[in-house]
Amino acid sequence: MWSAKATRLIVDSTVLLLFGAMFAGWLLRVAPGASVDEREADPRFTAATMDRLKAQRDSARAGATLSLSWVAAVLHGDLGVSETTGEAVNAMLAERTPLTLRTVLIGAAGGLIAGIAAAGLSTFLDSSVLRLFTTGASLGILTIPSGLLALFAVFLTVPVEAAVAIAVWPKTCLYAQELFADRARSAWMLSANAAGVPALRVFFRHLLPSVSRELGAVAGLAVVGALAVTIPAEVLTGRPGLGQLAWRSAMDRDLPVVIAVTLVMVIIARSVTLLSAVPEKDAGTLA
Amino acid sequence: MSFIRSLALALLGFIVVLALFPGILVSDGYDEQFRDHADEPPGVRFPLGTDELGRNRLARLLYGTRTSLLLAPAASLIGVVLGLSAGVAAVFGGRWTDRAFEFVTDLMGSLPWLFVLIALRAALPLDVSPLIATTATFILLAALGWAAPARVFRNLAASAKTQNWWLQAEGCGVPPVRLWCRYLAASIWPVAATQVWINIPVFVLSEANLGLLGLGVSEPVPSLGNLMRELENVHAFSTRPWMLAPVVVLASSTLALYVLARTREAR
Repeated sequence: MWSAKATRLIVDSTVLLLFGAMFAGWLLRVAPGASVDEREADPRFTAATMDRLKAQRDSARAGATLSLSWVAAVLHGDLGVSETTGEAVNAMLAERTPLTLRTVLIGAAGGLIAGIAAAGLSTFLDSSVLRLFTTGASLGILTIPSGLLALFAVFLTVPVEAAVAIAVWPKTCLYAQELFADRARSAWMLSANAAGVPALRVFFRHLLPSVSRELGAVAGLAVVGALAVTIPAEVLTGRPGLGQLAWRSAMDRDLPVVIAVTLVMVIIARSVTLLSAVPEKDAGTLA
Repeated sequence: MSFIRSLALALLGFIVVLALFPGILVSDGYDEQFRDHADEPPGVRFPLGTDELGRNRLARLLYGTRTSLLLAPAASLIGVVLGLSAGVAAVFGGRWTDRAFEFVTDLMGSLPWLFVLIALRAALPLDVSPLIATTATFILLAALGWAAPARVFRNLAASAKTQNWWLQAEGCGVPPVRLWCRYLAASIWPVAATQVWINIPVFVLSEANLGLLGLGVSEPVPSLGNLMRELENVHAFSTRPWMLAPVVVLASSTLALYVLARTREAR
């Protein structure tokens, strides 16, 4: 039963990944400015040369998406060659992905831990002032674009990971706060409090384990959120990660790189979403 | 709660009035250049100073706020209408339509939103007019922001279909169109309005992020996003703090919008 579900999830996700990358590539190909080439403004290229270069690029692009050969190449790990730099896309990704993953994971973990801690503290102390403060601070941070948070980090000479963590914090804090407040009203919590069980024990031994599944889902959302924040953060702070590569390839209309980056981002986002959703969905089956 | 809501409404109303009638505070246009006063600090003539081209920062801020705060609700409305159509069609279109809907919304949910937005916005021709670039930016926001509300509407419509009143109405022979337009719409309408409110600050912030990356509304048309581009020079935070004025307006207006959306959701 569980293995059938897992197989279906894996098949669904693989199809989704391939469709995601093909969809991004297709969108970019049909976008109105997709055929624009900056080299047209370069007087050294003659009209005949430009025509030839365009024909070359068009045929390469036609093979880059929506074809079985492309899917087969991707499944064999061949992501093509960058139109702009001529480098192998695999090498570009291998060079940049670790830095981005590090930023995303540290940022997401920091934001998640801080969010849960703030929400836990306001529940544990049962302080409406603290709750108002955390809600206000969360909403305040939500109103600042993530790119600007990254610039503030540069200004304050703190690591970019801190900016990512601050950007992730509000949503995790607000969600965890609602979750804890909801559980705190449940009958077993009231009984435990009435029986005089120490509040710390109730919180760590009973409350936290009872919301672990939901917090798993929040962790997934935190990673996906951190991934989105990392793009402007890397671009604006000049960090040579996947986000910067994504932005540069989009600006250069470098189709093979755009597709590859989309693929990697979808893989990360999808894997995290699945990992955080599986325990919730299949808890009954597993039990 | 109603006090905070009133405060948020008053703040948003104040910002919107100033943005709609910039003539109250300034007489200069957003693209008018005063070459003899380029890069001036705040003073009596220019309360927020001028930029490097000699344009009045206050005028640009007011017109930029108008661009962001008028187009984001429009984009949000379009996104919610698209989501509503897709969500309702998924429920009433049969099993395969529902499966296709689930697949597409999963796909949209898995794609990094900001990245797709950057890729598509960057793929626009380099020589489009500022008006087209502005419209395209917000249309892209609407086109990519329909999936989340669509799931809400799909679940709402699916749940309505199993309710006793629905089954009874169907049994009594109420025509399907009347059932959808009159009764389903009545239960969906408040949720749709809340979804519009929820999306507005998200779209304003997305445009701001795009603007920071140089891909939002293009010059000379101002927006809260492209006005913040100057902050790429981080030393301005301490040496020219008046350049943070767009951040203050953006934060105030989105905070008011978040508060309004949350209080609406809570109701």
